[in-house]
Amino acid sequence: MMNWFKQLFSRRRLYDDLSEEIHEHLEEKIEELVASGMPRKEAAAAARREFGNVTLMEGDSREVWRWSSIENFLMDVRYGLRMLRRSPGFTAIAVLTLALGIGANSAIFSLVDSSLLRALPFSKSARLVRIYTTETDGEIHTPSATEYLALRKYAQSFDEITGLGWADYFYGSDQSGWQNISGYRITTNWLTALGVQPYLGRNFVEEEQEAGRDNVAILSFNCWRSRFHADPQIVGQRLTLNRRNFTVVGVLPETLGRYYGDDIFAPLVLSSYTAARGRDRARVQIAARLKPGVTLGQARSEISVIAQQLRASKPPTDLSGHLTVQEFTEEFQNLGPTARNAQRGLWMMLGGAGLVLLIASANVSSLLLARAVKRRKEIAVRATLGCSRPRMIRQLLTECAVLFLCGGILGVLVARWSEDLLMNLIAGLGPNGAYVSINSRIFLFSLGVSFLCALVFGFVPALHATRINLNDSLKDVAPTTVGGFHSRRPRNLFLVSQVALGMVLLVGFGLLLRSFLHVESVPMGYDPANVLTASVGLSTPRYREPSTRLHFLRATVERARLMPGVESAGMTETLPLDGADSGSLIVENHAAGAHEGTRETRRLSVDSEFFSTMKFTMLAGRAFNDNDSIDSAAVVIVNQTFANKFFPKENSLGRRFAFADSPMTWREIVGIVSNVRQRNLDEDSQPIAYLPLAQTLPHDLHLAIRVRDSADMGPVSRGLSNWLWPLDQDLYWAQSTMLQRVHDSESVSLRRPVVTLLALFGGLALLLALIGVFGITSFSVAERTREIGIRIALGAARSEVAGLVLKETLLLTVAGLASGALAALVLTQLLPAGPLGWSGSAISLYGVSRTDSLTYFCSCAVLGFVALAACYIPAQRAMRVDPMVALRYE
Amino acid sequence: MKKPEQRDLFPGALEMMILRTLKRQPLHGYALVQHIKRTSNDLLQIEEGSLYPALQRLLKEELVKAEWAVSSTNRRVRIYRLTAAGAKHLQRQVSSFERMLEGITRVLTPGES
Repeated sequence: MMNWFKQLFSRRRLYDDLSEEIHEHLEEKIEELVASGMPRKEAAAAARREFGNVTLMEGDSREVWRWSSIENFLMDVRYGLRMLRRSPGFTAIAVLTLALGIGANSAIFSLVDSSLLRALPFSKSARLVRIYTTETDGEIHTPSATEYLALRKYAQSFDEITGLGWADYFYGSDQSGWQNISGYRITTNWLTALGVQPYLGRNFVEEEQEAGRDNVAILSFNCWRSRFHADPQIVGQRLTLNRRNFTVVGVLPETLGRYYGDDIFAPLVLSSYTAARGRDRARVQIAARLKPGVTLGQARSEISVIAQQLRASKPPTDLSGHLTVQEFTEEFQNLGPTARNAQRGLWMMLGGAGLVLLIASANVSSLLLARAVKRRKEIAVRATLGCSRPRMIRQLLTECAVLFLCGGILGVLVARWSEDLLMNLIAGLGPNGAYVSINSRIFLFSLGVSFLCALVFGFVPALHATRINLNDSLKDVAPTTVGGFHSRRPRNLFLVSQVALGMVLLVGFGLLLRSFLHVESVPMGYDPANVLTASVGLSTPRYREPSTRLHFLRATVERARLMPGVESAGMTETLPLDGADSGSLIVENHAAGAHEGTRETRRLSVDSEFFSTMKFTMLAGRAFNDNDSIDSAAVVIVNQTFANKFFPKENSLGRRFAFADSPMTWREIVGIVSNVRQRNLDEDSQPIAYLPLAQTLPHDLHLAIRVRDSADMGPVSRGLSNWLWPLDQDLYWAQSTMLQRVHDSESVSLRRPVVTLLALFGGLALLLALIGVFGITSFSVAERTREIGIRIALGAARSEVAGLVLKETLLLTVAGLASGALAALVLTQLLPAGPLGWSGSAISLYGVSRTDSLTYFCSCAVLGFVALAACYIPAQRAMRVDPMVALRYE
Repeated sequence: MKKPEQRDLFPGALEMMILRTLKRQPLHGYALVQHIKRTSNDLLQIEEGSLYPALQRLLKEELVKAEWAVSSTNRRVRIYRLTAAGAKHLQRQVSSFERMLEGITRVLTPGES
């Protein structure tokens, strides 16, 4: 190694020695020959003859010292850069095209990478477990504070047992209005046990878990970036949460956001946490780290023993309180359907970006092919000077790689600029932890992709360029008889594939756009326009009594009804698009042969004004009224699906049923309402039972307020916040509108980023196709100038000449459209099928078939039009060919 | 491009001859080529110049070393000298060459086996 290093620097001297030595050699020879009686001139010639080619020998001798492959490569790079500089127009178009293609991929890959490909952001996550409990119905649930305390006291299998609770904060200053942000309450050992290092500042210290000293907060990375503009001085600053002052002590790393997505982390003070909710209602998520040497099985058996002791006082029929231990790794691999679909959305985006890159690369490849024709002479000269074909191919590939790498580097910049745009776009995909961050991984990815594309897409042009007939090329007649359709085959192939890829992208976009529009305009069963909503969490001790809650909200809704501009106001347990609780039911006098499957229904409580406020359609019976109270007979209103499913052949009005969890309360069906979209816009409708809230006294309540006119929305909303807030200083009111909720609902917000991005990519693909078709057509016109000149001289009409140019391009475009349509038919099979209904939403086709003819037709039309437009200037140019000039050209 | 000497000699042959000659005595390039020509009775048609790339390879691998000196004819010459590594390398090359030659000879003389 040192030797090599030395050689690198002493090379100049080595070369000088060599030249001198060879010179001396020849001199000695000449002198010897002269001494033997040869004339000096002859002797010099003889010496050279005997010696051989002096330059070649010297060159060969020097080459021994070179690290030839690397140096050849560097030489090729230098040469490539020189060639690129010499044709700035070509270089600019090629690099820009590639930068867009690669940039799009880098940015989207960064999203995919951050949300799908990263390992868990915890240290030694295989030793981390979460502990769950069971509910009365046997379902797995987050443990109660009691169970948490017991585990902390008795469990021996763990190094650390940590707890995490939830908290809602309202944050802000009076000027900017309040905002509701959600956060966690964590035990001070939570971060250390999981092995998470704060990105800025410090972790909590143990004393901060005591009441009164817990006014410290650690921000999530997202919160820090979006609310505090990534202020590097954030640590030590104060912020007001729930009207209390908190000091920011740290910021968490970005990677944690995928698993713990809330904004604020504050110490968990168990006493005040349980005081607000009651010890058994206060839930604490338990995460623990296994002691070294303790197996998961050992931990499980220990936990089950503790659980048995805890359950000792409960009757054996009670299924609650079974503690289960689940591994972190397993835990985080099982995602909910919505999160899975959000990820699918990311893959779709990456697919779109990939198509754009392929189109861009094909574009550059065809430009390279065109240039190869121009460089035919240069290449011929090099071939005659003894450059071998593999050597030339290597050189052309290096040149191509330089071009693509330039594009790649610029692409990383493009990705960086698009960071904000993308972050805004993907916000709709929900807290999936995806973020754009152009780090070294992404940089390497970009370079890798550029390099791969350069090899793949540079190979054909390089092969093509070096396949030359020396004799023809060196003669000065190059651009005249450039074969026919046949010799342009690779270029034509690129054009066809460009159009085909564009077609795939446009069809994919078109189908998803039509689905999106269908979803957005789906009949919801209620009128979301002019409806304001207000929700409040009544978790403070003051509202622990259900009747207090109801009383408070009744007073509020009464007051809202009196506001000017308000048409009506109602209350509900869950607003439309929020889904609903479920329960199984027992039907009284159940007729044999009627529905025998699971009798699961959704249920929610509403007040008497809710249906009229939302404009539900009553199909039969009556709505609730003020007589339906806690003292009167239990009643229920069901939706159409409920009636059809459970009472298929009979009139359901007047029938009675009870819910399995309160089997003594028989509820009479007094009305039937039409189906509404309660969970998602693209759901399959499910049976829903509406209960009068005066009889159920639910925990959560939401107000829906219909105003008379859209102009009243603003004033009523402001009026509401003016008197809602002072009602109780400790309450946070989340105000919104139904239209906003539709806009933010999963089925729309999941699709929106994908559709928007595909629109962007589709536009990009069209632009690239325009450039590609234009480039190839103009080039073939330039190449055929002489042929066109002859045709015109022989009497061809100008329009015939234009037809000649158009015919070829259009033929290729049609071929591209046809193969693209076929490819699209196959590739759209990858789009997820059917809506998921209540369990989440998918980016699926909705209201449109995979073979939707309108989409295919429009994509064809748009691409065809673009191709035609791209031909316009070249065709004009062909028509303007002056036969005299064209023929005199040589 | 094919190097001319590779047409006439097998690869490594020239190096072997150079090393063998230098083992006898240190020489400069011109004297070296004259010696090889003379001892082979001009049977080997080598271009004098082809010696130099071979010498550079040997120098690079440190099988020989070179230094400038003044010859008896008062000429500045570069004298090549065999190194210890060169001597070892020569020995290995010669023995493997002999084995190869023996093999070839056996094939070329029929009836012996």
